[in-house]
Amino acid sequence: MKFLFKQSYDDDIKLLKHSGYIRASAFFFLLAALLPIYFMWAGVDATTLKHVIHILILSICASGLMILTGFTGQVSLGHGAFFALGAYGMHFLLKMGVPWHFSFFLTPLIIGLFGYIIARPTLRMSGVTLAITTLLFMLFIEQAFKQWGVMGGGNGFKTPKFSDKESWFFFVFQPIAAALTDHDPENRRDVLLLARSASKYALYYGALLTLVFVIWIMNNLVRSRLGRTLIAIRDSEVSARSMGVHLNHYKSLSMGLSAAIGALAGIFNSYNDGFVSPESVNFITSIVLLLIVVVGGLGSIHGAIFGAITYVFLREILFPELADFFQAWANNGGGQVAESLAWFFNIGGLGDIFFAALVLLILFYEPLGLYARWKKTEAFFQTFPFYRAGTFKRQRSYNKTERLK
Amino acid sequence: MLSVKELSIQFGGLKAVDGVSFDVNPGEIFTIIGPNGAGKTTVFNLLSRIYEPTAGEMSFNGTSLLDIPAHGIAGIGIARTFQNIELFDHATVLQNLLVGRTCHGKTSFVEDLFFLPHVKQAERKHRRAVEETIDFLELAPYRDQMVANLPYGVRKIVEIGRALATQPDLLLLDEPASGLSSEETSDLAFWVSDIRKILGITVLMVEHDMSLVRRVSDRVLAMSEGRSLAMGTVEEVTSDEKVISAYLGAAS
Repeated sequence: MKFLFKQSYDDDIKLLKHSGYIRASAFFFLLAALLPIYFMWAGVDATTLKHVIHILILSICASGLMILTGFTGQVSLGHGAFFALGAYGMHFLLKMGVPWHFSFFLTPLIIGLFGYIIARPTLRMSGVTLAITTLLFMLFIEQAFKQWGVMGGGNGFKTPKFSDKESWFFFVFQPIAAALTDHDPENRRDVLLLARSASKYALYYGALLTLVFVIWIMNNLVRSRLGRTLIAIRDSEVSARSMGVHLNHYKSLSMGLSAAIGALAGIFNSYNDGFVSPESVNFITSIVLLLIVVVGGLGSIHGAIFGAITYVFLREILFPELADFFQAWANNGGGQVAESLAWFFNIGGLGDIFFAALVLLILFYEPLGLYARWKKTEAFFQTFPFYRAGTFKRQRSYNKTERLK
Repeated sequence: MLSVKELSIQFGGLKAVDGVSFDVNPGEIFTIIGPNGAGKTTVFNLLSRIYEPTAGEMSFNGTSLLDIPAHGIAGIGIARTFQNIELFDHATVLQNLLVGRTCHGKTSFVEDLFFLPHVKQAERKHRRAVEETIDFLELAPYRDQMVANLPYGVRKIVEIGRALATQPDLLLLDEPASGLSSEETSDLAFWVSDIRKILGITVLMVEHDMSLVRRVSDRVLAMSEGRSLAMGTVEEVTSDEKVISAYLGAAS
């Protein structure tokens, strides 16, 4: 068991509250930082790396949505729009000749501001009306992109490599990749492959650093006035207002923030996919983001990341891997069982179905999502062997009246 | 301090508050009583600008409340509690009280996002202020608990604490004793008089529990069906013919 003795207010204010936090964050950060090195060493294929980058990107974007939905309590069905706006905005600025680094910072700023401005009138609504309005906004953005000739209209456009020979990322990762992979420096094809994978690794680290930055921002949010204000709006608008919270301003602020973070994710996604088209960022993306947030646990920073990992792992890694595995088994004469298993796991959209089933299970049995499960596991080990199943049970519940709504 | 003149509000054909006037003097505990549906809570919602009055004037220390939006009320020194506890359920008691410090926050959202040193200092200052309230209301055992897990009586006190954390000049308590046991009510009576005596805060209260009203109030306003019936000390009001008939029905 672990006992914490708080000796100053700073123990509650500081970012890493005790040694456990420091150890855990160092562990997970190192794990994430060393993963590509392992991939290079073990020769894991590029698709898997792409999926891992996808996890990072979805984590970033879901964190953004977590601010809006988890903290402020406003449901948005149109968050995919900001995802797309980020990708389009970035590449439009690049096309206009704005330097890369500049447009990388400028795009989220502009999209964030845009999010704030459109939210001012929109967030006068709440609940179902708000959800429908954001959905319509999203459809509108999608149509607008289809008509945007400069950016390829309905066909979209290809994105360049994330890092090219001039960037410092390339200088850092190219030698590492060269040392860890089998390649022939004389062979032009090998060199090209190496360059491409170095660009992918650069993208991985770019997305990872951005995710760390976003997590840091979210933590700052939670421990400062702004985050408390957002939570106050979620739990009781009337009393938040009486405590001096300008509702519309703060709601729009959270929309702006989550739009900016969504745009950041969109930029990385455009590089990870290698192309951007109006179809690649659509209604489904918005729904998926919302589900990720719900599965992970509304109102928690961990939740967005847990949700993103679960989604990508189930859908893009686990089931395709299983399908390949059973297919190989069947091809090697695994008999009737292997063949039927291979057939089963080759059904399209199986990952989606299982993810949907997981969403339902979580809604029934763990309404606060995977994060609550995580907390329970944590408590189990912290209080070992004294954990009771009822530790997190709500003792009493009271009905809230609807009188002032 | 607070002066209300001919305040009226109409919901469709229903005159919920109809020409109510009263003044609250500094350092006073002023109670509004009345049968259910008398418009007491509506007066509170008008004072905290949640409803827009159809007629009448309200002013606080000389400034008209009508010029101030709902989210500006806390800033000029009026804090309130709610009849049906409106706490932030999925936050800790500490966080709830810290929200009460919102109107004292001078940090911008960019500073908050990057948690600049300036924000850290502000946080320490807020925490110190909140801890004083926690000490005053003896909430220390509940400091880090989720409000959703607290018993009803404690929540009532937390709500008063959150209002006190805004460091108001005038505290509006909407039925602070409703749903409390008689023991908790007598604790509350001590706190309400301490709020006035120690913190120097003027209290305007809506209350049904006459034992509490008797113990703490200086003056009482009795309302019925949106109109004021009588105003004065507890004895004067409770012996008033009109008040008795409003509560018990007129003898026929």
